Amino acid sequence: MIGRIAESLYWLGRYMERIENHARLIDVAYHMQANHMGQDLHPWTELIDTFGVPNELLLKNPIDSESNVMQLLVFSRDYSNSIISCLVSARNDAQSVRERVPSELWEAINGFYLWMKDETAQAMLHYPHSFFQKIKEQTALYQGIIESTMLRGQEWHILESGKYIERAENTLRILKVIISEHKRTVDFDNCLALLKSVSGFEAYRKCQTSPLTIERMIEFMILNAIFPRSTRFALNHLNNHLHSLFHANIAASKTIQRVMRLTGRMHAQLAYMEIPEIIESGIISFLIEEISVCNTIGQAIETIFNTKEVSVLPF
Amino acid sequence: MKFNISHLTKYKYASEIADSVNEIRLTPRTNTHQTCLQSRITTSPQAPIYTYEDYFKNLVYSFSVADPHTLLTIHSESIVVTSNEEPVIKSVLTGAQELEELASERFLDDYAEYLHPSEYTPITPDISQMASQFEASHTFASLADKLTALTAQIKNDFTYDPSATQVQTKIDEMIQLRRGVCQDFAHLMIALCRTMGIPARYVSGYQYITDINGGNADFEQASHAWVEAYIPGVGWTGFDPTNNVPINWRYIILAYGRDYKDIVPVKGIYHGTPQQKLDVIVDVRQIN
Amino acid sequence: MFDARGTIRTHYQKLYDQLQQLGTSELISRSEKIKQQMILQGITFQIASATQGAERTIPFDVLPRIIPANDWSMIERGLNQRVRALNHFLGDMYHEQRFIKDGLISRRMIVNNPYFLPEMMHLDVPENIYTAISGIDLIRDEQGNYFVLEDNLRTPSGLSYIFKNRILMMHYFPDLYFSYHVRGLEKGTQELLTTLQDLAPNNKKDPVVVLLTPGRYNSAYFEHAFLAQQMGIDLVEGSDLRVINQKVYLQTISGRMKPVDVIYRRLDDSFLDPLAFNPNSLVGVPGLMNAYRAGNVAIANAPGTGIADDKLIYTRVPDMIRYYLSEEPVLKNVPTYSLRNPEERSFVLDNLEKMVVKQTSLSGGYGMLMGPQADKETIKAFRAQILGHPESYIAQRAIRLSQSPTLSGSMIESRTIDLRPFIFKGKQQVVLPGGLTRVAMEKGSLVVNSSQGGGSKDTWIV
Repeated sequence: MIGRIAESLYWLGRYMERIENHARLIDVAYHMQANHMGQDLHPWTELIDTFGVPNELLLKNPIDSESNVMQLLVFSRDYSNSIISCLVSARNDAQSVRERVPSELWEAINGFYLWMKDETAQAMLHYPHSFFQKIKEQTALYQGIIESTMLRGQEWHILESGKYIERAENTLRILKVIISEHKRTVDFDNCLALLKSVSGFEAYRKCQTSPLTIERMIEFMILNAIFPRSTRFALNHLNNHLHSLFHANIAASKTIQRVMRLTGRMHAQLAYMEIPEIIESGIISFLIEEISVCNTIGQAIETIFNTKEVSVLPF
Repeated sequence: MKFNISHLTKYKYASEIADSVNEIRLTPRTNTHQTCLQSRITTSPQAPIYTYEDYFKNLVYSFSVADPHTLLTIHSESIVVTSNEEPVIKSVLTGAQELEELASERFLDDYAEYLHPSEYTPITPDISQMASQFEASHTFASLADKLTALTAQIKNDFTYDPSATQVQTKIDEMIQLRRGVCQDFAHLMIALCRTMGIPARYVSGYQYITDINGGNADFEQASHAWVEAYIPGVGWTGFDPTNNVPINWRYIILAYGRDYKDIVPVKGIYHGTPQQKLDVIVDVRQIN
Repeated sequence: MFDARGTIRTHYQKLYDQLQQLGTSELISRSEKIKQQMILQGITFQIASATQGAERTIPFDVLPRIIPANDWSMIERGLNQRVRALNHFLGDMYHEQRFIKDGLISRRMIVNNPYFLPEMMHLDVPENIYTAISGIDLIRDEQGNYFVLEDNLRTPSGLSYIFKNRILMMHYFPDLYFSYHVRGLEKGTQELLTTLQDLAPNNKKDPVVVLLTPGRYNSAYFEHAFLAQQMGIDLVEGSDLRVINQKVYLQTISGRMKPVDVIYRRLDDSFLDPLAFNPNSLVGVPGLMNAYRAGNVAIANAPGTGIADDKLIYTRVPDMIRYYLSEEPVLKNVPTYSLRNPEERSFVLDNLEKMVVKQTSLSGGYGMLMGPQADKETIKAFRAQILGHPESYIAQRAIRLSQSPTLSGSMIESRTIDLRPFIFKGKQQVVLPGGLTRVAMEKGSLVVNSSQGGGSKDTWIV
């Protein structure tokens, strides 16, 4: 496969996953507002931190009201991680590869965009839950089309690689923000909100009957092997997709070998790790370390695409 | 006269580059003025070379280097014998016959590409004005006289100044500055000739420069460019508007074209950093 | 649909009856559904002047244009003949130039033509095919005579719309479609692929064909993606290809280099190879021309074909047919005047209100005067432009173009149409049955170009 195509597929996978994560996160945060009532903490600070909105944008876009926050996180075209920006990027990438993916997939993304581009913060606040529900349905439709119509060829493996690296990193990032915000005093409500934001509460209940604690929640979200949004699960899948892509290729380049090594190692570490080890080494520093490994893997994957600048000799 | 020519081009890149594709026009021509006895091009990194003759019958060498590298050298070496005969610039037809010939349909067709403006030799209001001023200033008995006078006037009106212009400079800018290098002088004269209905072409090559004692100069010899204009009844005739001296045994011809764009000696495109350093070492030596 | 006396032409009878039955509101509702579908599928193009990302659908008219088989077989013969002659002409111009030597055209008109490429001189192209894909614009006058309006031999666009229009009609008007025996387009993309494969150097078996696009910001990107998908070939950009030792390769992420045999390029000549043409444009493939010269890759269409579809050269095509094929042209040119010629010029200037004047170097309906519709001021301005650069213009007698019923708002009204059929020239030469009927969406307008708001219709050969 051509590097440019692979790059577009990879980012399509990442952006669509990011949209879903962001929608879940905002939805839960929105409906958690009640818990913040009477506290000093601004109800949106945590959310803004999770997103990592750059300061200069915060100066330009005051987050003093619901509709301003929604405007920034959902509808701002200036903020590259807003839902609409991610969707525009995903659509651009889909357009670059539209002949490589099922036409339904392109139509689903295009339809999603055509709906979203006419929405506004003011309007969506009349029906916030069904608005986020609609986004989740759109991403589910996208996943469903991939699941049921896409050839399990290179295109699919790359698309899925993008999805899983994004997911692995995203889960770690949410945990880090919540835990550092509340230091060690993460309470039941926080844990509950967190699990809900990854649609993990019901799943957690199926795996664990004991009371929800921060340790158990971290174990579930990072080390669980069968919960699809856990970091371990995501890395396992990333690892498998990369193997399918490159395993047959004996003369794999150094860049490919490096990516395989990095993901393999991170997955193995999570697979054999126990929760006390994490607690002992300090949760926050553990999360920071793992997020940085995810970043390194992401950058290493991008080097495989090898899209270089072109220069002309002076004459 | 016999010459040994060495033309070394070195590109040093700030970091590894790859997929470089190049085209070289550095092989001396063989014609009534000169004979190229030997010629070869070597590159480092080594690369298989593909050759062809372009539209203007220049010999082109092309090669590619796919693997990463930080240094590219292209070495062109040749042995050329030039005619010792001093050129005499003289028309054979009468002035009236020449003009009639220049205006004939057949002539306009045969030399069409050398009468048409090109990217580097556009016919701008400045050029048209210069041409009509020049034509009004004198009366010429023949085309040979006219071209000789034009060469002298360009040399007289413009200053040779390597710091004034770049390779992409177009003639309008040169006219503004009143200075330029041989490439600009040649483009200016070509544009003026074409405006006056005289076919003209660009010539790239070398001019052999000796020290005061007539021996091989030990200072750096540089590539040169001049002009050939077509005189009906005589044929293509060389003029050097940069120096206003006859195109004699000291001139070695590499390539012909409508303008510089057709004869670029070394062209290349690659993947990687645009930061690079270019060194060119030209050495022309008289041999026995 | 109707003849001069207002009676319905026989091949339109069924359409007429079905429309009566269907009723206008149903027609409008289906038309609206089609439009929604086109937007959803992204069957759009980008307007050259608009800012990046401004997308528009080409208006689609649901009333098909119907051409009876008799007319079509004449058109088909005429197109085949014309493309054969044009291809001969191109081979001749880039080799012996007999057409010049025999005094049929001046050498100046060729070598100083902006589309003439010295790089193509004496270069032997695969199978001697220059025009693998041609689009020839036809118009029909009120008497039912077809004329050639323009040849498009560089990178003619519109193919994807032919296929898409057909799919939409079959989906939304199955009864109507199947009530006629419309000649199918099913083989079309296969024939296009076969044509391209035929060009593979050394008759290579299972050659690798790619479609080279300038990228998704190009106005015809939808078409590029659609055709690549339909043919099952890679859609590539210049940066995806490498030339190593005069061979073209696709670079893959595993580091493997896949050799490329045929390039269906949708890039203009001057962007194809920055090494050969324009070093400032890096969308092309450096070294491609030398790979082509070395005979290692085929390019469709060949670079330099623009010298044969120039508006001035157009006037010589009937001569080409006589000269190269010793045949009389089946399809006539629209009577055309060269404004370089003083007599023809003064005739044209005296009759500007009856003329269509075109700037020879422009296409897509830009730089055009539509005499019958222009106001006095416009005519005056054009007269000045023509007098300034007479050699840059040609004029054609404005022909009263045939009209076709078109859904406009809630009314069915007559609109001007033309036809762009496509001819594929590989080892066989085939004409895609039908072609793209372009329709002027404004009442009374003669401009059908999509860049100027023109729409399209499905074209049925029955």
